[in-house]
Amino acid sequence: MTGFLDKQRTHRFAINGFDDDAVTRVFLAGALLMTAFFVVLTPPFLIDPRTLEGANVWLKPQKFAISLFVHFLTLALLAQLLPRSVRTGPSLAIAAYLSIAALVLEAAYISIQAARGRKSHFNLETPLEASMYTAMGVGAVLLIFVAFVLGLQIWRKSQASAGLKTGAVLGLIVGAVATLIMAGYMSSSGSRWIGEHPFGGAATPLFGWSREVGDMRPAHFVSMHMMQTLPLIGWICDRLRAPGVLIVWAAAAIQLLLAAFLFWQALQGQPFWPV
Amino acid sequence: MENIALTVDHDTVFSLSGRAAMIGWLVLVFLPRRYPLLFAIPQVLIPFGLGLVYAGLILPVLFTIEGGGFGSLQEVKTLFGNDAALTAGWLHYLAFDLFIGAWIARRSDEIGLSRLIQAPILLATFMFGPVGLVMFLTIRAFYKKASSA
Repeated sequence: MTGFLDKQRTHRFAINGFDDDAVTRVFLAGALLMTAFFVVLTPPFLIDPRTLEGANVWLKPQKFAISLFVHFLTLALLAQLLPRSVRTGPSLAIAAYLSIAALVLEAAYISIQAARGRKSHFNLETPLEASMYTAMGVGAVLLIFVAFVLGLQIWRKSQASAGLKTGAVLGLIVGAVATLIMAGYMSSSGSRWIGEHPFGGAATPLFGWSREVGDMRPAHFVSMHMMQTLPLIGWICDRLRAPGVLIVWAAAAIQLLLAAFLFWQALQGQPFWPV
Repeated sequence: MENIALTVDHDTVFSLSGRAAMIGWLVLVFLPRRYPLLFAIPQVLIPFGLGLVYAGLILPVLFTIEGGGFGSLQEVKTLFGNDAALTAGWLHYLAFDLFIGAWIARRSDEIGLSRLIQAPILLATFMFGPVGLVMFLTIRAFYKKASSA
């Protein structure tokens, strides 16, 4: 077994398959922190009658908790494709700790704003909220940047099987770049909607994406989740002895085109699923 | 003889004990854990001190408040209508939240939780006691004792 660095530590992550190094631990802890937020915010989510732009005030922190749980679990899993020395090397370690700092800031601020019944994103109403919105933008970049760095390191240093490796590299790098472009455009445009989404207007269940006007979030969702779909497809191909590299590249192209189409459609002011 | 629990300036007790608790929280969140004496400040010293002040405030007045008690919400409300009991109630929060915060900090080190992740959990415990506890218990459920430490 691996020796513990500090004497105080007596416990380790209960699920097998993860190495016990500082970077894996911090990614897993990020995923678990989101689990903790989700658990403790569920009672107010079920009880609080207040709404913000037509949605339960707690829906947003709950969605972010789920999304960032998936993100950090993905990072922890894909980091296992690297030899430990690379995984804990300076570039990935620095990116990982920056992403955790960003995670803490985003989760705390989004939850506090939900409790106050105030918007967190696109909120420029007070100087503090405007500067927090800017800080969250920096945080979001850091959350994506770590995926990009992990993708680069897997590309350069991983000995993983071909399909899984291609899926991880393409998913993390292309997913990160596409997410930065689309989310960056969305945040600089001042609204997630193209057009005026009417109060209480039709929206998809759970996600709350507009079915009335253009909404950039479906494209953001599809591009961001390349980080999960492509490695999964590659892994399945490898297990089935299918041509993983080819299939992953094809899947990447399809998913990127879908995201681009959804983005273009939103920019036309068209809902992706009209009423 | 006068009852000091009733005549002491409760605002002063409130703000002094708040400051003491705050020192404990700052130690927990920001300072290193490897010095046992330093860690004893939030873990033992401050909760112990707050506990003594609490005892001095609540025990001399608890059974003297007409209609006060713990049996119903109305009794509790009556109890806390008394400033000595109210201040004591607040000290109860301060002492127990800090002690639980120190427990969370110690257990967090055992599972190797980054101090960066510990910070928001301790902050939640400071602000909303049980919220931080639930968060930490959720995280801790995913760790087990290492077979060879």
